[in-house]
Amino acid sequence: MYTGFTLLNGFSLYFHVLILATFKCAAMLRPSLTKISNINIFTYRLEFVRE
Amino acid sequence: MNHNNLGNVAIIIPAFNETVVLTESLKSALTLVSREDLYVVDDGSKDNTLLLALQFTKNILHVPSSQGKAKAINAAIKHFNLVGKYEYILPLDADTKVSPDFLQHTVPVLEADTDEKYICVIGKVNGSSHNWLTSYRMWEYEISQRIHKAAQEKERAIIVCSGCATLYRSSLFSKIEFPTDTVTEDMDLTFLIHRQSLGQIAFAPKATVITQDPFTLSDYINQVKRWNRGFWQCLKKHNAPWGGKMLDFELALSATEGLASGVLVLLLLILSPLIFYKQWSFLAIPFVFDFFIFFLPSIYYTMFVQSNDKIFKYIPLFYFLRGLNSVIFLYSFICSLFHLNKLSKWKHVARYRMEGAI
Repeated sequence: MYTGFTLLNGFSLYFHVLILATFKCAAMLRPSLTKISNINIFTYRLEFVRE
Repeated sequence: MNHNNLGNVAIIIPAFNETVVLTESLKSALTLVSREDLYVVDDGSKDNTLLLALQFTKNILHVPSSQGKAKAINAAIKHFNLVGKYEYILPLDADTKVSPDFLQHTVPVLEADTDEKYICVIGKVNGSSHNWLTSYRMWEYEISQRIHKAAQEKERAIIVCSGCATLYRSSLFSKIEFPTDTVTEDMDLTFLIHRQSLGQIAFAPKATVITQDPFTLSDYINQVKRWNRGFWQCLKKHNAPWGGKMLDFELALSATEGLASGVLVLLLLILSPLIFYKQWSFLAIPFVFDFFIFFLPSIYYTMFVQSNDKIFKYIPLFYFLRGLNSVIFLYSFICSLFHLNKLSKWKHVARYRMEGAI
């Protein structure tokens, strides 16, 4: 529990780095994907916007 | 029309007792637009702000007694009919120097957006490293913008359009104005944009401004108190994080992390004697984890992108400021919870002369 609490400190940074990295990979595969429209935490799916 | 033929832009600078910094700010604004497109609101200054501003532009609105930044900008937009005259409005702070290519990186984003999906474009705020406090702020700016804000843009959930670095479509101000009932009007306006679905927010990190950060610890504490107080005020006002949007998710993330961090810092302060006396080394895990996984890499990153190695020597002091920030965040939450309004008054921050080109 103590370690979990420690991880919470700085969690948003790790989360945002993950978002940027995921987006970078997705954009390399599909350049038309420009924004994330939704993050479905129940299905672990990122839903992208096509532009 | 500005110097680069980039759109039809008005710059508004509200100023209250800003003689020390206003000249540099106005000079930088005039690298973007002509004198006819520069507007200054003298918000009841007691010094020579008005006379100084008159040397740069005739478009000056003098308010007899200070009303605050939000009311000053709203008054200028109405008084000069800026919504009718201009396509874009760029409010700046009197202590902010804007880069000469700011519009080159922001206007095309809105011009290319023919469907007008984007309502504004945010530039990147930079600090300048003068002492340990400003160096700390420089590090915070890098992390909060290059990582947090960049990711929030992808999620379409930017939580604040910086008050000194955002170019708005003027049409926004025909629908809403800068809110005046919270102490962080820029965050409040951003929440309104999300809540009323007035458009998307773009982030253009190449468009930069340099702002002045507090030079003394007391000014720093007052500023952090005000920002945190404003954060909780905006959450309450806009029923966040219960709105069911990505913005709410981001706000829940920030609030949870901030509170957890505050509790952790307080616990460590209280329990740290046990690390030495009782050899409870497991209590040091957060320090070690935080230092190697988060703090040190982010410091190196800031040093690299800012080409500034002075930051490294301030690491022990940065820990003090991080602890202080966490405690203030927790304190402002408690004040907000129990409706204590001790922190809501704005205090003037001491200014220092800005020199050199951006």
